[in-house]
Amino acid sequence: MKKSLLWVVVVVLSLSMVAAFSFSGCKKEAAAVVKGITLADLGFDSSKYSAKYANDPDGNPAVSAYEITLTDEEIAKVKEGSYTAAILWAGAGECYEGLTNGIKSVFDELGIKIILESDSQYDVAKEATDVETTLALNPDIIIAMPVDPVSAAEAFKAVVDKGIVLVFEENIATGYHAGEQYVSMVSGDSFGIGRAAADIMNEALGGKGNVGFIYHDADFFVTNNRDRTFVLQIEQKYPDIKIVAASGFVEESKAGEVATVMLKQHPEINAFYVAWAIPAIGVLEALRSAERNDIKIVTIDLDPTTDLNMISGGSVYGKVTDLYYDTGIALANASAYALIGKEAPPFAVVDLMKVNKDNMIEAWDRSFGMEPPDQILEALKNNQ
Amino acid sequence: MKNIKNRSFIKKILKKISRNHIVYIGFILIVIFFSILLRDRGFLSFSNLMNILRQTAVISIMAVGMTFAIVAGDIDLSIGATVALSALVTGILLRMQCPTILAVLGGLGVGLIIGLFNGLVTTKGRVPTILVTLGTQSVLVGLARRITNLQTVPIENKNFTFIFGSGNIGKISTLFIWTIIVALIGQLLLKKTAFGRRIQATGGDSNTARFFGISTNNIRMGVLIISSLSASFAGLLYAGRLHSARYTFGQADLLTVIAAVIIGGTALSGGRGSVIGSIIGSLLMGTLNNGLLLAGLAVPEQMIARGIIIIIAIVISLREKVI
Repeated sequence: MKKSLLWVVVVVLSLSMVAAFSFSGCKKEAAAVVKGITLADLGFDSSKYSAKYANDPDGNPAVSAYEITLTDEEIAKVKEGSYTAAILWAGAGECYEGLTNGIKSVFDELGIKIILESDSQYDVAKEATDVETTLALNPDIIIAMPVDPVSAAEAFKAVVDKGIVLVFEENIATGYHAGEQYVSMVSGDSFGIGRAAADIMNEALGGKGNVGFIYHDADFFVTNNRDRTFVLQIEQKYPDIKIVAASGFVEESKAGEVATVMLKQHPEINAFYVAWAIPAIGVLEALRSAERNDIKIVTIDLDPTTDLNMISGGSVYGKVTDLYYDTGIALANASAYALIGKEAPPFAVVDLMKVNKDNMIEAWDRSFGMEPPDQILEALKNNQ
Repeated sequence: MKNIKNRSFIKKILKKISRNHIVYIGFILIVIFFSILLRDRGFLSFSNLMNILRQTAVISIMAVGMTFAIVAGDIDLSIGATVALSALVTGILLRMQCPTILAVLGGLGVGLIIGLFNGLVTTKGRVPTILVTLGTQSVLVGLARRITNLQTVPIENKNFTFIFGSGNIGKISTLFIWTIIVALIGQLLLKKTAFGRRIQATGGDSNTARFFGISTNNIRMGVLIISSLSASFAGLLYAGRLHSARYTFGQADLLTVIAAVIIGGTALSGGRGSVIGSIIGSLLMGTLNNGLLLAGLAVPEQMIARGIIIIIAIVISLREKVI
């Protein structure tokens, strides 16, 4: 009996603590309703997010990735080398497929053989393991997206020591410098994407409304930039749009729960910004459960589920997409630069594209180098 | 008549093999298979073989601890989160310029506390370990995320990184040396001490064990501490190998560790197991991963192959019970 009582007390105390924390969180967000949450409220200096392009994490300014091209003579020179390459991604999915398609399109032309492709499933230990295993094959080039900059510094050290051409996508290893440990980093225009998402949000709300901001709560260069420039653009360019609630997620699957809580606390929300498309699927489900078909979603990147929703006039109002295929082309060209001793820019960015149902097919082609799935094509026909 | 005799003799040998040596034979077969298939892709090079030993070290060390838990009839689902929290605590202490020994003890202390907690709740609360450690795992994951706010902690202490994973003595990685040390201690503890025999008795039939005066609660507490300590130590090795500590360390390792232990001949039902078998199980999984990657298989195919091996191992494990 005494034991049971003790357990009850423990459970009640725990629940009280959770409630107290939740309540204090509510108060903080409720206070922000008056003026809208700003980038400063989230703890970031707006001057760092005001430039046209982001600098890379090492401070290098960006150039357009379309400047990285090879002449016919240079192509012939690379072909003579019969080089080999390995591709080490952090994860898998359409975006990575788009990157790989872009790389392959260049490597096929250059006669570079891809001898290994892997993804580390966002696990830093597996990344280190994949790098070690790749080295047994002695590739001339490694194109990689590091999972975590700090851990990657050690994981890729052996690649640097062996003098293998190393090109990074979206992130770099801490302490590495372009032209020394690696050749170039290529990424999407993260600042531009954040701003474009804010512009689409303005369209979705007709210039006025309340936004729930669901961001990626992890230390990741590209997503952090996109999220923060979205907030800054709303704050500076659209004064009648207020961010009334801001919450982050780490696992994609948790974004739906975040949206549910936000809706409970802020039923006045008219639209959600979600950091990218896969977590937006959970937010869609949350809206369905809450029967809030009036709320719009603006998100980033293509994916079949949210694309279909957008085509059929659902909650997903619009998207911005990174051009992964072009990024792949730039990564491959940058690696070829290193093979022939040509200096590549330290940091290059590709264009972005605003997506609606009218340019969906073009967006899939430009972003992933492929046709959309049949379901999307059919939905496009039915919703013309 | 002679044929029948021969057949029953072969059957007997096969039964004996499946009971005691399947992991060793499986390991040898996989090495031979990849040696032929990948003869021109560097599989048998010294550096690649050292890669396999290095890559499997943390799994092997966790598998040693898990062997104790499973032999005693328990299971520890909190090891992945223990790895992360121990690595982070060590990383934070090193960042605060604490002496290396103190940082190491801090990391191991995390394991000790977690093991004690798991043991106390399991034995005093009479709750199955699977439920206790599932809960602990969730608490630890939350703690690991909170204490650094999801930031990675860089580790620049050269002594620490050399000893715990990045260094080589001659051409041999310190990770491999640690694996040998932990495996030997584990095997001696399980097979050559009274404590080890009591663990096996507890897992075999706890009522009988109690009848013979064995304090099964103390034994269960002991194995859960060993399991957590081995996970903590694995966390130190992750931190040393990657020169950093991160909240995601160990999160994908639980299934691999359990698979290594079961493939290694430890009965899921408890009572019987082998530390050396678990190490070979871990090496088998590591060799498989390495070979499949070198063979150019994509991650989904690697996962399918790994899953098939785990299923085969479980089928064999269950068959052994019948035998």
